[in-house]
Amino acid sequence: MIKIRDISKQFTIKNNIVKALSNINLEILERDCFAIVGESGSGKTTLANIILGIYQQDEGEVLFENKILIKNRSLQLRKLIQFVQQNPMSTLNPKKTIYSTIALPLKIHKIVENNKYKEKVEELLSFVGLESNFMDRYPDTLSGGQKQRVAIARALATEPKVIILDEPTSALDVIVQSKVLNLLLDIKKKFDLTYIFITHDLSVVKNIANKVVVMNKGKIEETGETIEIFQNPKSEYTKTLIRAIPTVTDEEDATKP
Amino acid sequence: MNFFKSKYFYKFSRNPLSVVGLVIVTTIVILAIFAPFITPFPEHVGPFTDFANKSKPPSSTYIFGTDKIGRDIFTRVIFGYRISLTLGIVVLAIAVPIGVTMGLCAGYVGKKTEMILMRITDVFLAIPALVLALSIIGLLDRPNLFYTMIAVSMAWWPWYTRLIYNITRSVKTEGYIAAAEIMGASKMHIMFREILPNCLPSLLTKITLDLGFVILVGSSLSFLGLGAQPPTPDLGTMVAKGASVLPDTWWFSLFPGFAILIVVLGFNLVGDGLKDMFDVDV
Amino acid sequence: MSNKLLSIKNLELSFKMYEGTLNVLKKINLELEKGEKVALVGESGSGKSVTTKLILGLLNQKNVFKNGNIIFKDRELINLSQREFKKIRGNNISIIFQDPIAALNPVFKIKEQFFEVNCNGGKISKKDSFDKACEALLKVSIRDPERVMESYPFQLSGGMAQRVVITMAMINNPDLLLADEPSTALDVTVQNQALDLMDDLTKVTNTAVLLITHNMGVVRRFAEKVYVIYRGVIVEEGTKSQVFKNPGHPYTEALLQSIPKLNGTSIPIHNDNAPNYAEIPKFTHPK
Repeated sequence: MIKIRDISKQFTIKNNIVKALSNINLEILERDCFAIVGESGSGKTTLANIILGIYQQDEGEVLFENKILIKNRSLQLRKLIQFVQQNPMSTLNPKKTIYSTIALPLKIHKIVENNKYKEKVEELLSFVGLESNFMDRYPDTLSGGQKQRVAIARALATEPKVIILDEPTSALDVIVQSKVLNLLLDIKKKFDLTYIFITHDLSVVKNIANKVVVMNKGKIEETGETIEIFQNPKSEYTKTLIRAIPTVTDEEDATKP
Repeated sequence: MNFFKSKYFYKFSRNPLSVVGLVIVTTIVILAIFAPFITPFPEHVGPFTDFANKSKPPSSTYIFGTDKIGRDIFTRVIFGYRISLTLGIVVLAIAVPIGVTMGLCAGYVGKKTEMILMRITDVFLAIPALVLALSIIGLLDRPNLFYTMIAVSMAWWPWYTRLIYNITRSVKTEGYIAAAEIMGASKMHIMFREILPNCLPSLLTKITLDLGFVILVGSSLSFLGLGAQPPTPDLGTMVAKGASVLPDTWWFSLFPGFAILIVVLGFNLVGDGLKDMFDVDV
Repeated sequence: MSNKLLSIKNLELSFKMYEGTLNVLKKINLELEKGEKVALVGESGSGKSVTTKLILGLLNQKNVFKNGNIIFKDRELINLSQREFKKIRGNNISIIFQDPIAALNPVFKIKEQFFEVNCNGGKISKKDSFDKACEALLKVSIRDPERVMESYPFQLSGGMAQRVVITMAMINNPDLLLADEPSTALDVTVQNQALDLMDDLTKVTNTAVLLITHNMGVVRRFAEKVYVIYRGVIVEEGTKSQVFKNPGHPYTEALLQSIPKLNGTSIPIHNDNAPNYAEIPKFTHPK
C-alpha cells in the first residue's frame, strides 16, 4: 500500500550536514500495524514527516497505492493519509472548541453536507468514547488522554485508509495509555485501517504491531515480522534495545536476548 | 455578565489600579456619548460668543471657567473627549487590520513574503510616530481631523505587524498548525482561523494601551495646529490656545491638559491590567 | 539521633485558587534511612513532584498551605527560613531534574556552572574548582573532562548532560539526592547508564536517594523500597520485591497490569469500572 523507495534526506544545521535518512526502503501492506522503532536521531520522525508531506525528501520516492506522493499533494491524497501526533498538549488549538477542531476536516474535504456537521462530530466523538457534551469544551479543560482521543477522532474524520501515529501514547499515564492503545486497536479493526506506528517503546511494539523496522542514525538496522525480530534479533543494536527495556516482571527478563 | 464572574476578571480585579483605570475609562466614554445631555452649555460647542462672560475663572456656573470668547470650558472639554475617542477608534480601526494582516502574512506565508513585508515595516518603524504623522499631514493640502487620523494610522500599523509577526512565528510551530496543514487547510484559513485567535489576548491588550497613546499623539498634533479645526473643541488645541496666556488665565490650559492626562492614564491602567490578566508581553 | 535520614509525617499540602482549594497532598508518610534508595511512584497529578519542592523549601507563595513534619537529620524543615534552606540545598540535599539540558544555564559553560556548585556558600579558586570537577567527571567515565568543561550545555548530548548534572549534584557529597524523573527525557539505552551512574556514586558516599517517577520499570531497576502514591495519598509501601511480586493495593495492581509486557501479545484490557483508589486503605507490606 505504501512503498518507500530509496528515501534519503539530509539537513544542514549550522554548517553541519546531518544525514537524517539514508537509502530507506520499506513496504507497508494493507491492514499492517507497522512499527517504526528508534531512539532520538534515528530518523523515524523525519520519515513520518516525509510520508505526510511536511518535508520533501532529497532522493527517492514514496508511493501510495502506486501514486507518487509529493509535498504539495492533492486534497484527495491528504484525505487518505492522516496523522496523530505525540504531544496531546499542542495538538489542539487552545482557542477553538472541540467541535470546531473536529469539524475542520469535515469542512475541508466536504465529507458531509453543511447541516450534518454536528451529527457527524457527535458520531466521531462516540467512536473514541467521548460524550457529545465535549463538543462545546475547550482543550484546556480536557485531560491528556481525552485530548488524544479528540486527536484520534479528528484523524478519523476524513475516513482515511492510513493513519500515522507518532508516539501517540508516550506522554500519557500508564493506565490511560493502555486504554488509548486498546481504543486504537478497536478502531483499526472497525474501520479496516493501516497503521504506521512510530515509537521508542518496544514493549508496546511487541503487543500491537505485526511488522517492525528498527532504525538507527538514519539507517535501517533490521526489519521483519514482530515475532521474528523479538525471538531472533539479528542486529546488535536491536539486541541492545531489547535488553534496555525497563521491564516489570521476571518472566519478561527471561525473554531478553 | 459571565465575564465578570470569570477567572479572568478575578485576576484583573486583583490589581486595584486596573479597576481604577476601568472606572476612569468607562466614565469618560459615558460622558462622551451623552455629552449633549449632561453638559450645562452644549451650544457653546458650535459658533457661539458671549463676550460678557469671557475669561471668567472657575465658578459654580462655569465649573472650569470660560475661555477668551465666553464659552464654557467644562462643556468643551467633555465634547473634546468625543473628538479624542473618535480619533483613537478610527486610527486603530485603520491601523489594526492592516498591521495584523501584514503580520500574519509575514509570519506564515513564506520567506520571500516575510522579507519584503518586514523590510517595509522596519522602514516605517524607524521613523518616530509624531514626525511621520507630521510629514504625511504636510503632504496633504490643509490640516483637518480626517487627515490627522490617516496620518497617525500610517505611523501606527507597523507596531501591530511586528506584534502579530512575532506571535505567528511562535504559534506556527505548534502541533495544531501542522495538523491543519496535513489536513489540507488553506493558508488563509490557517492564518485567520487558527493563528489569529491565539493573537487576541496580546492584540486586545495592545489596542487598549494604544488608545491612550493615540489620543496623546493626536493631542500633540492638534497642539501644533493640526487636527480638528475651530470651532470644534479639541483638547490639544485648547491647551495650545491657553499656553500663551499662562499663568494669568491658567484654567484655559490646565483643564484640557488634565483631561488628556486622565484619559491616557485610564487606558494605560486598563491596558496594564489586561497585560497581567492575559499574562502577555506587548 | 535516629537512624532515619528523612522522616515525613502527615504531610499536607493545598493550594488556594480561584476555582477553590486544591488538596494536593493528604497526610502522607514517608521515611528514608541513610544510604537507602527509595522510589515514590505515581502518575501525573499524584503529588509526587511537589513533595520534592516541599523538602527543598520551594513552595512559599501566599496561596500555599502546608502542614505536618519534614524531619531531616533530626531537624524540622517545614517552616525553615530561606536563609537556612540555602545552606542545606546543594550541600546536604541535592536535586536532579527531568531535562538535563534545561536544568543547566544555557549561557554559561559547564566549568562556570561547576564553579557555582563548588562555591556553594564557601570560597574556592577557579582552578581548584576546575580540577575538582574534572576529577569527578573522570570518575564517571567521561574521558575528556576538559572538553566537556569548556562546552556549553547545548553542545552536549542528552545522556552526557545528565551525567554532568548528576556529577554536579553529587560533588558536595550530599546526604540526600532527590531525583525527579531523571531518566524520562533520555533514550532507553542511555537511561540505564544514568541510573547505574546514580547507583555507583551514591554507594560510595552513602547518599540516600529519593527517586520520583511514573515508570515502574525504572523503579524496579533502581529502588530498594517503594511508595506508591495516588492523588495525594500513599496507597502502598513495601520493598521492591514485595510490591512487584505481590502488589497489595488495587491501584498498584492496575498499574502493573496496564504496562505492556515484553513477553505479551496484546495490550491489557483495563477495567472501566475502576474503584476510587484513594478510598481503599493503604497497604503496608510487613517489614
